[in-house]
Amino acid sequence: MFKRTGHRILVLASMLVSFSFGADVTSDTEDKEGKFWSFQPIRGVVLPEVKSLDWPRRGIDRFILAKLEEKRLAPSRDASRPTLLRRLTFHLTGLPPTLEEMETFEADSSPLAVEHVADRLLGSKAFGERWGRHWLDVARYADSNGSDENFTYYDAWRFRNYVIDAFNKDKPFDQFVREQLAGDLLPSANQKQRDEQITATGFLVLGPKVIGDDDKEQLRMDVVDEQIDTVGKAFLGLSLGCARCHDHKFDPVPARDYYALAGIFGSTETVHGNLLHRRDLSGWNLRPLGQDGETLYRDWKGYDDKLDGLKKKQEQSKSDLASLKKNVEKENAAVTSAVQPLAAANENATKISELEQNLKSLAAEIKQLSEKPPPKPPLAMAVCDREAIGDARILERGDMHRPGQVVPRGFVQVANYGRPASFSAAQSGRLELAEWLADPRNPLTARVMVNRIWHQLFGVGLVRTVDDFGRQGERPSHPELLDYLASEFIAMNWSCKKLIREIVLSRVYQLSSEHNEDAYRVDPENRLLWRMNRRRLEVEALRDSVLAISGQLDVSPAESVVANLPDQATGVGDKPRKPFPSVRRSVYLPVIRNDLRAEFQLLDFADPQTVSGRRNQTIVAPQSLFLLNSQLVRDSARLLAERLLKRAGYRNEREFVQAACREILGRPPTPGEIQFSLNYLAEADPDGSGDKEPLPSKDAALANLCQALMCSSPFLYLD
Amino acid sequence: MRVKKKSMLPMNLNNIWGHQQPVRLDRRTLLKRAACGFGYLAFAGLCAESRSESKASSPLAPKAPHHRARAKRVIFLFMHGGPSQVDTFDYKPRLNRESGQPCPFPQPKAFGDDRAKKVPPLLGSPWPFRQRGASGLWVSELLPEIATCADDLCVIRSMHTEGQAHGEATLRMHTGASNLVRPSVGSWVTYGLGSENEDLPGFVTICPPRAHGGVQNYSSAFLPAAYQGTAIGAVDVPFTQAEIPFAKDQGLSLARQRRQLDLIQDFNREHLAGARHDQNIEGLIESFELAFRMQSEAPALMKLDDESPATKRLYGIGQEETDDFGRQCLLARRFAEAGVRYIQVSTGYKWDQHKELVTGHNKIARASDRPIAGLLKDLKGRGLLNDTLVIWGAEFGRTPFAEGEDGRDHNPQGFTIWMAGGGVRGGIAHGETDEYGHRAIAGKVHVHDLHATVLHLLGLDHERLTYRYSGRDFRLTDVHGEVVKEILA
Repeated sequence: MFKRTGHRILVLASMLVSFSFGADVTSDTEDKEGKFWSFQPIRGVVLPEVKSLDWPRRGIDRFILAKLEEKRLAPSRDASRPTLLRRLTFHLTGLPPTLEEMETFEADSSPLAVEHVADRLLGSKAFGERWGRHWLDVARYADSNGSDENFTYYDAWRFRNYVIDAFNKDKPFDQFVREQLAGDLLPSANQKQRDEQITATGFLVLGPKVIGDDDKEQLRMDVVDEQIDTVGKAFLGLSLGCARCHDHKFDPVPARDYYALAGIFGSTETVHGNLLHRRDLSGWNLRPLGQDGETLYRDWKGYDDKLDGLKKKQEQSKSDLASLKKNVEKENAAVTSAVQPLAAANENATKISELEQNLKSLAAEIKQLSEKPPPKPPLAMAVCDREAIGDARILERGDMHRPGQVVPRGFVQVANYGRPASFSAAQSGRLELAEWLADPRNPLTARVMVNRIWHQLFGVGLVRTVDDFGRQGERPSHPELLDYLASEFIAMNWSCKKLIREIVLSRVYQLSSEHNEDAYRVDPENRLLWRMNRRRLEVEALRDSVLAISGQLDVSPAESVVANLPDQATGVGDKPRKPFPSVRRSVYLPVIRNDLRAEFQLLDFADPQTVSGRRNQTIVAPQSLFLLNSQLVRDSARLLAERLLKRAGYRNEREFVQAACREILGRPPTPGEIQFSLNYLAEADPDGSGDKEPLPSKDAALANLCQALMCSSPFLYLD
Repeated sequence: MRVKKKSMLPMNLNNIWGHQQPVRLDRRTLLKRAACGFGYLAFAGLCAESRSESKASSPLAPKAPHHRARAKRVIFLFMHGGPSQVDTFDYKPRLNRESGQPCPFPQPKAFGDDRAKKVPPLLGSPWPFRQRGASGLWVSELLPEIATCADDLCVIRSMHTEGQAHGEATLRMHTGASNLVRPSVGSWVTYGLGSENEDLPGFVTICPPRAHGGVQNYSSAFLPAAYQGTAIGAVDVPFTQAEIPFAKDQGLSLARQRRQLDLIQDFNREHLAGARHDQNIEGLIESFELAFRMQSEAPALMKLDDESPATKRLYGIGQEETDDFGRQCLLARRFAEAGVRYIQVSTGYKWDQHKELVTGHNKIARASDRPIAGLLKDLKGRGLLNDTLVIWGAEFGRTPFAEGEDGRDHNPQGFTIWMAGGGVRGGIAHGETDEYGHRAIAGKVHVHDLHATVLHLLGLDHERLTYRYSGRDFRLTDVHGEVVKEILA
């Protein structure tokens, strides 16, 4: 979201003279030494005093209420129970509540009913699929390279599943950070843990690379740059990339800092070898998993190289043979009548037969070899340290070919908190960097992550520019609350689940999204959270829920979904691309850079080219066309109508409408909704245009009604 | 004389859209524009979050250029794969004379496997060249139909770019960059000028390639989504099946779908009434109406039935070889007429003859030559060529020396493109490559310069057309680009 619109919103916000939370004055955001707010240590905060003592339920509520009271605003009323259940279920699992879940919740009169629901959802495996996907947005996850040559990342899925598992296991976030940056350098108790940690470093390998670049040094530097950019935005909320060419214009990040990090990633092997044995294509680093992975992989590579060598020899011999034969033909034609020099002819004949013999034996050898490939171990896209560990040189204007002064490896100085930058001479320094990031004293790591979580639950972060905590980013609407959440998060041993639980049990999370004219006049952007934000379902939630409601969704987890794709995920030729039908959860669909699924493209899926902590939220006509005319929505509506009809006990259309609304909207219909629907079903000639087309059968009309509900805003939006 | 009452809004719209040129709209225009438009809703979505009450115009509303525009729209004919300059528009007698002799100049870094071990021979053009038209422009026999339009062509023989491989060079041609994701030319143009028909996308790309950057070649990157190219079909879809995505109803007649839509809108309005105020729901309601208008009108635009037989013949429609590409070119004209700002047509990845140059080039030339000439003549006949800039070109050219026995390798060091129509001089050739057609040496035009020139012709200053993202003002030409003044009419 920020990517395309952040600055637009800034401009708009600054136009609203009466309201300027987005552009707080600097005196507030810098301390006495002029340190910007986000680089200051996380403060221990006391819960603020409030007047309405009976309103707050959790600590969070005190911060929200205090600000509201300051502006003399009252929070809106609590959300209705069906609204709350739908909100919670979608936010925590990306799926709609089932009829049974709705009934259970309605029947649970205990004051702990919401806690029961929250705990059930946090414990479901759908939780990791939902929240893992949020992190995959940040990790710019994809199953293909994109960029110039869109090669398939056959092994990326292990990282995807690692992330999903991490959220389901509630892996402490500091550990999650360490593993993604330096999992290969961390100690491990057993093979399983070792494999998991290696897989985590896929985070550094997944980015797009110009793998056809013929300047390989430049390519390596571009990859390092991409890693610095990703790590900066993902963990620190800082755009460090600018400092590649010059000291950062807005944030106190000098080029030295950038090259201090470049030394770390430059000492890391990410680009590796060649793809398909082609000199023009660079490959990426893969690491074998499993007990005897290393040995198996070495053997397999030996085999693969040998096979390639033979194939190249075969090519060469074939072409030699062809040109020799062509020459002989030419010579023969030239000496038609004259007597051919016998010796030369013989020599050629010998050569030809030698080559033919040679080709025969090559073919046999290739055949034999290809019949018995050695086992290939499971592979993970993962980094390792390079043999040459060293500091980087500052590059003038970022140009690989204009090296300057050497900079020792180090951290981002402005966010330093007193941890000495001492690096092992034998390792890249990723481990030290990971420890520096995952330290409770780091002013940014916890703040950035709790803000990401808040953003997912409220639709906007306390800092709206979730990937930018620098000067170009926005200031927090509730700085004390942000610090409170960050300290709590650290105190909870960096548990995402506990933090999410804490937030969803707050009263502010459970508010209605209703409009209130008085509050709107003072705070039109709802920065103070006088109500819940109404939000559209993300494309995954939309797709998964129409599949779920219509009884099609396959909830089983998947491993690789791109194994059948060719080397180039998007073909270079003009062969039609195979469709990828699937009724699995969207998180398991392939993410092909530069060729996203139509619905992903249309409905603001995260851009997998770069860190996207905040998705776009566009409303454009092609989305409506998708809802009206796509197979997915049409078929799902028809299947749902059939399911509802099969379910015994509907005596009339009214009951059908009630059931359909419960399934699709997660609540009973309003009287108005019943009326429109019955009118629609009752009309004898639905178009009234003298259309000669036979009327749709009753079943078709019921399906059309279900589709209309799936296109409607009460379905598409979470109140 | 009565003094007109000024009713200006105090808001400077151009600030919102990143323009530096002040344009003020009166209230009536503003409201009219705000009420509809393909892209309005994208904007509403953005607005909604900021909860700004200010209604602004659609991002696709026409915007004033920086200076007088010579062209209003662009049709880019993308010859994916790279046609050979020395076999089309860059006549090299010396190369032809020395054909078969070892290449006398050093080759660029080897591309591909185990090549360039030995010095390759020069490969003269298998196609004879002739001077054409009143201008005497050199065009080879490979493109006999385009040759008849010689006096309209503004040939640039001194193009150069970076990227020895297709992907890198294709991305550079379309977006000006390859290692970073940047908005494509069409997106910049639509961002800068809006569109003349807000019921259609402002930027369409007909049967675009999937490879070598794929969508990235027509994506809006960090520009708002309203400026992204809408793909009509894809390279692997026969043109007859190409359509605006999801614009075809699934079995409901238009009238019945209208009735269903009314039901949807009933639900939406009921929801809106309950919410009392929500710009997103309002936006959604608008977006359904617009979608329905598109769905009702687009098919007629896409269908070529109402074109006369003579027009169809002009494009080679009905003849097997040229039918598919002819239809694409004719559709491009129809989009141009309908007011679409930027239209791309792609041949498919057909020009990449590493071997069998003659067969391969002949085949794709035959498929595209007549349709392209037809397009130029048709545009001219309708008076559209004056303000339509047609660009013919690829990601790079091909080497004057042979690859293998009868192919040519990639040549980003020097290649040819041509333009025609809106604001360029016809019947001229600009710039030069060396005597073999390998490297651009005089009047060099880099891809950035081409982009600067295209923007200039459209009335946009490439240094002023900027967008602030990630703390920086970005532009199509980065820190480069010079307008090629010599070719301006």
